[in-house]
Amino acid sequence: MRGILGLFGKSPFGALQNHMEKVKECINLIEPMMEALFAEDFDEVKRIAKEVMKLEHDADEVKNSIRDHLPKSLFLPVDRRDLLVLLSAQDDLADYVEDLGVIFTLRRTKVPEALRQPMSTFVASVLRVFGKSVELIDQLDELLEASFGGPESEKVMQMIQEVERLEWEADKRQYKVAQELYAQEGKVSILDIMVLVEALQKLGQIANSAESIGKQVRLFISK
Amino acid sequence: METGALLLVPTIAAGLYVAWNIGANDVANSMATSVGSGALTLRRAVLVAALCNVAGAILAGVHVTHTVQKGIVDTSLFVGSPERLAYGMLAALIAAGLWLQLATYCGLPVSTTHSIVGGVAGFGLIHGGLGAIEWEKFLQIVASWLISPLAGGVLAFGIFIYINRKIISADNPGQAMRRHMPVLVFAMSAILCLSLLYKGLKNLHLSFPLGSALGVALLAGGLACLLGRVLIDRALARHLTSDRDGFALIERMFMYLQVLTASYVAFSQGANDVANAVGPVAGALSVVRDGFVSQKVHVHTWLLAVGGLGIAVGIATWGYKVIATIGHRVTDLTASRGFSAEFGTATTVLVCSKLGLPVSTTHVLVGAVVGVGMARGMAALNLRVISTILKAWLVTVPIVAALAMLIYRLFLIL
Repeated sequence: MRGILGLFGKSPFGALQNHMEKVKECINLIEPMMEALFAEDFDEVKRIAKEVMKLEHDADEVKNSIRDHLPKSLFLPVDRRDLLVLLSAQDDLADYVEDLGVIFTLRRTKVPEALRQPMSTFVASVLRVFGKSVELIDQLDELLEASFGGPESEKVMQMIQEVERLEWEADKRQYKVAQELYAQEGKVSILDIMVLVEALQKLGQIANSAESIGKQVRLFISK
Repeated sequence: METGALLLVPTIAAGLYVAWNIGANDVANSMATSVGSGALTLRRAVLVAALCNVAGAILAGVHVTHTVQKGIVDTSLFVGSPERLAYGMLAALIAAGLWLQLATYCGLPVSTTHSIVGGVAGFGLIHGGLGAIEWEKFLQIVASWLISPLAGGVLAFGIFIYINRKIISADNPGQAMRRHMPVLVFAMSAILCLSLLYKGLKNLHLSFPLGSALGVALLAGGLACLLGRVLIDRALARHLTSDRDGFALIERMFMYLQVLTASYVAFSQGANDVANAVGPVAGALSVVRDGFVSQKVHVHTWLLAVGGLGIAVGIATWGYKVIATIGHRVTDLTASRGFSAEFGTATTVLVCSKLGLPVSTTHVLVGAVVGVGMARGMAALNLRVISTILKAWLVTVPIVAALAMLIYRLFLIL
């Protein structure tokens, strides 16, 4: 009688962490891409953008296999829809990095000298939001072990608040960079400004998606 | 009774066949959770399962045997033709054994208990029509199939909530474990002891009235509780300095409890399931020996031992493969979850067995696992399995009954 064997479904939480690993590989390429852009090494930018595309594709495959293994008959300790929204948020991150690569390869965009420093600090603050959201996903094991309650859930709640605070900081930085960028009116090509505006928006969306990971984990706990 | 004597060998053989099936499949599920969580190695799981099953069969097996063998079919109908009862029981055993083997081959979650009940009901129908079946008893048994997984689920849910609130989610898990783990040890030991003493040991002619059994059980529980406390203190002193993450230590402690409960499950399974194999044999044997249908069939300890051994052989020859397969797959099940599910299962099965209701351990275990899942303790449970199990429930009894009817008819022609 092997009935009980079928009772244990494949846990989606480990797979969610695997997916986040792939996303992290994409995100880790943002800084080298920016450096190549600042150095106006456009071949390198193109190479990195291609690498991001490949990694994003890998992440997609992990994502699809998670979705395939989440039939409605699966009974989870968290809401199935919340889990899928979390997965989407993670997946958006990889998509946005891919978009960023595409934006930078559209033309040979020059980043004005005055913008490089504020832009780097903005990227760093976006990466901090992301880094914290990765920690959050890493805590899913412990959360599951604690059945999404107790001191562990309080600890995770604090981490979520930290993610939200970091995202707010990233927002402020984005505002500053945007101000700096528009101040370049007349000094640099209008097309450069347009491309950079788009890039800033993508980076801002990365911070937003990282924050929404926190929101979903919050729903896990409060279920 | 010449035909009766001829029946002896095939009846015992068929009983062993069913016992083998129980050992090969049923037992595996309870042990697999321990192997999956790493609490037991495969070799030890097989050994523990075999020993506890035989012990359970011999020490606590007698009551259920009466129910399956005598309760469903009105034996007074066979007074005029006792050898027919023997044939019928043999037919029921063969039908159940065949169906079990087929179901196992197809990977269907079928209960040995349900099969044997179906088989006995089948030949009863042929012999005496609808009136031969003790419908009230039959319905009671059917109801217990539905109630027992629910009971297992509720118990496991409660136990897991307790563990989670009091130990896992405590501010200081080490101290919480020191305080609450002995409570669990106490409850477990006391219940096991009570069921052993109060009704179980009749075969050793050790019968305790409820009062003194309760006293002894509480005493044994208290002793186990103290022993547990000492062991936990030692473990805490040794590990807590190096182990900053409390979960790992908690789970390690629960592994010991899980081994205890796994033995407890195997014991209660032995007590409960041996009846499936041995009940019909006992019925047939009494006919062969006495030449008439007695009001009360004595199930000798040696017969229970034979059933227990048959189960043990099943575990040794095929069960370990099933344990290995399942154990490998259920690695997500941590020791605290496994303990909750097994404790809930064992208690339910023992209580049912004491009430004389043959229940399926696996189905109770499924209910218990789902119960832990309801308490947000499981990563992912595939609830589609439940519908498969329900289908198997619906199908098993009629199929085995029909099969038993066919075989019984064949016997009558021969």
